[in-house]
This record gives sequence, C-alpha cells and structure tokens, in this order.
Amino acid sequence: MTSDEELFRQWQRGSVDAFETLVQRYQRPLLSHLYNLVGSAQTAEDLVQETFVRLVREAQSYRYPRPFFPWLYTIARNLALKELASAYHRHVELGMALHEASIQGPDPQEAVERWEQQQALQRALVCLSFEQREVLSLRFRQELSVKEVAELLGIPAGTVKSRTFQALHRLRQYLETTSFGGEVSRGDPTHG
Amino acid sequence: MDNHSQSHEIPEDTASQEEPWPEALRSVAQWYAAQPRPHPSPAANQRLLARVMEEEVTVIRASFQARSSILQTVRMTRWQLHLLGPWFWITSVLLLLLGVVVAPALPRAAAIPMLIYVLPLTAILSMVYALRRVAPGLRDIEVSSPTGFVEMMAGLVLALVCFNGLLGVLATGAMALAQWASFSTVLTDWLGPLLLLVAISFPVALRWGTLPAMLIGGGPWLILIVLAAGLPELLPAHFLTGTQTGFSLAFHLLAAGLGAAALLLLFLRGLTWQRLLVHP
Repeated sequence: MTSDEELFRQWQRGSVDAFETLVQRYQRPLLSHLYNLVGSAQTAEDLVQETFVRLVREAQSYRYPRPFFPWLYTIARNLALKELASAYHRHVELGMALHEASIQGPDPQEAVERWEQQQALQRALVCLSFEQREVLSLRFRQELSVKEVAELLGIPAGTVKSRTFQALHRLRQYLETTSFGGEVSRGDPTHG
Repeated sequence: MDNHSQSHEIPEDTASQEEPWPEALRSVAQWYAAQPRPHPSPAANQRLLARVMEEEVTVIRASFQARSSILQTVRMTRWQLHLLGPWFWITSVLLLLLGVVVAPALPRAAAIPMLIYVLPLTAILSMVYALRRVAPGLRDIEVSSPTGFVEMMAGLVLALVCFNGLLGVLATGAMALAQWASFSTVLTDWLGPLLLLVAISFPVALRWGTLPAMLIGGGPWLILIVLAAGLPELLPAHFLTGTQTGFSLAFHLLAAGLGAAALLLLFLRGLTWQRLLVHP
C-alpha cells in the first residue's frame, strides 16, 4: 500500500487520484474522531471538509517525507478546538445532537435503542474534558497504542494512561446514573 | 486515526497489556468502543471532493499568479518593446544627440529649463505612442491572458520610463559638464515630474484613451511651463529652472516617489485594477 506521504507527494505533483485516495483513507476515521470531539455529526462533517481544505491550502509547506498523519490530525484538532471555543462563545450546547445514521435501519426497535445509546454516549462525553475525549477516541475508536497517542499529542505516555483512566472512570460514574450503567457493568458491549 | 480500524472491540494489547485496568473500566472502554460510528454519506463524500477541488483550483491560480506573473509580464513586455519598431529607438537617440550638441551653444538660463521641460513631455509622448501601437487583436489576447493587460502595459511603460530616464541622465550629465550646473538639482527637477505625470496619464490612457491621457498628463505641465516662462517671479518657475530650494527638492522627491510607487503598483498588482482600468 502506498504511504500517505508518498500519496501526498504524488498529489503535489498533480495526481488528483492520489488525493482522492487520501480522502478515502481518512474521511471516515476523521469523521468518527471529530464526532467524538465535538459531538455533532453535522459539525464533524463540516470540520472534516475544512481539514482537507486546509491541507490543500497549506500543501506548499509540506516537505516529503514529513509524517502526514500527525499533520492531518493537528489540523483537525485545531479546527475542533476552534469550533468548540466558538460554540462556547455562541452558547451552543454540544453533545446533544442526534446522529442521523445511527437511527436508520430496518428494525425500528433497534433504531431506537441505537439512538438512545448515541444520546447516552454524547451526554456522557460532555462530562469529559476535550483532552479526555481526545485520548478516549484515539485509544478506543482509532485503536492507537499508548505510545502512538503520546507521540501524536506530544505528551508522555504516563499522561496518556492517566487521562485514559480518568476519562473511563468519569464515564463509568456517569453511566451508573443512567439505565446503561447496569448493562455496561455486565460487560455487554453490543448492547450499550 | 487508523484507517484499518473497522472492529469495535478493543485490541487485547491495547486493553490489557498496556494498561491493566479494573474490570469495571474495561467494560466501560468496551462499551465506548462498541458505540456506532458516523459514516460519511456518498453525498458528503462528493461535497468534500468538490470543495477540495475548488480550493485546489484557487490555490493553483493564486500560486501561478504569484510565481509566474512577473516573469510572464517581463517576457511580454520584451515583445512589446520589440514591436515598437526600430524607429522609435533611433528617433529617441537622435533627439538626445541633438540635445547634447545644441545644449552647450544655448545660454544656461535657457538650456537647463529646456531639458527640464522636455524630458517629462517626451516620456508622456513615448507612452502614448507605445500604447497606440498596441494592435487590437493583440490587446484581446493580452486582456484574457493570466498576466493581465494592465500589468503588461505597466511593464512597457516602466521600460519606457527607464529608457527616458537613462537618456535624461546622459543629457543631464552632458548639461552639467557644459553649463557647470548641479547634476542632482537638474536630475530631481525633471525626474519627479516625469514619474508623476506618467503615473497619472497611464491609467487615463488605459481607461479613456491616449488623447485624454496626453491632455491630462501634458496639459498641466504645458501650463506650468508657460507660467514659468512668462512669469518667472511666480512659484511654478522655482520648480523648473534648475535652482533648488528645500521645498522644491521635497516636492520633486515626493512626486518621484508617488509616481514610481503608482507605476510599480500597477505593474505588480495590475490584475486587481484590470476591470476598472481596461475599457470594455
């Protein structure tokens, strides 16, 4: 598989397909990550778009073989932080948005359950700090190792571990107050 | 953000080896990892690609303009100068030689003002002549080219100004030797008006044509010349006789600075003014 850095270099040399491959490679994980950070599918989608636009805009500053992924991630992270700061100033409540995709499905009962799970997760994530949400998303949704997360964020591995622990602990405390608490304790990941 | 992450389960090495959490936290982590993830819809994917392409075109255009425009303008200006024909240059040099031959024979009070009167006028006439030579077909191509008509014409005018300036410097040198006049005083006396008048008449020529440009650029200058010649006790005369005061020096330097800045601006940022200046 062609590396990200090579693809980006190919795009700099005029290959449109190379950039499309990068979009296909990162659009979905980026959307998932940003959704966990900002709590709104629509906002996350806009931020994904803006992230790629920034990539294009700042393409001239890229020098091969600078690692592509941390650069992409940093752009996305800064945009998410900016969006959250802006939302705070606009007094917009994040984390309560309904994710359309999660309620679609042939079985209405299942759709409702998924929607409730989604809402519970978003409410729970609001209790966490940005850094905690970020670490959780990178560790468990993007499946990066502690070392990879530490390198990406430029923090010690110990900090990643402690942030993860605190985030999970707080999440657990929140879930215990909801109907999902019991199911989580029983270790049933497929059902909230 | 691992693109190969499709599973909702936590990898064993992630969950247990790196961080041996209590069972309760492991359950929470598993619950979190198992939550549904948003997927970009095909429409969102299309929107994203369309937006990226749009941005790419904008960036390429801006980058092309920044990198290539000046080189392209210089190249096109060279062609324009070539298209002026040999007689333009021959005539200019012959006029200079005539001035050099005649100047020592004239009295100082007439020779120096003559030089100061003539040089700005010749610059305006050169510019008008050059702009009139631009063929309509060629102009159409230039208007649609990425360089921009205004930038290219500004390049041509700057080249002519430099040429006139060079001739002027040579004539001033000859005059300073023949008449024992101050080289710098005579130089600033004609250079300031030359640059300012060309900078004023050039946009007028682009927008309204060469005749209005000649009138607006040359008209006030001719009035000043008449006033200076007829009424030497009036203020304008002090600016055109080659005798310098602090005020006249400041005035001429300011005029030169403004003129040069305006011409350079049109040369470097002509595309910005193209719609305003180029007659439809």
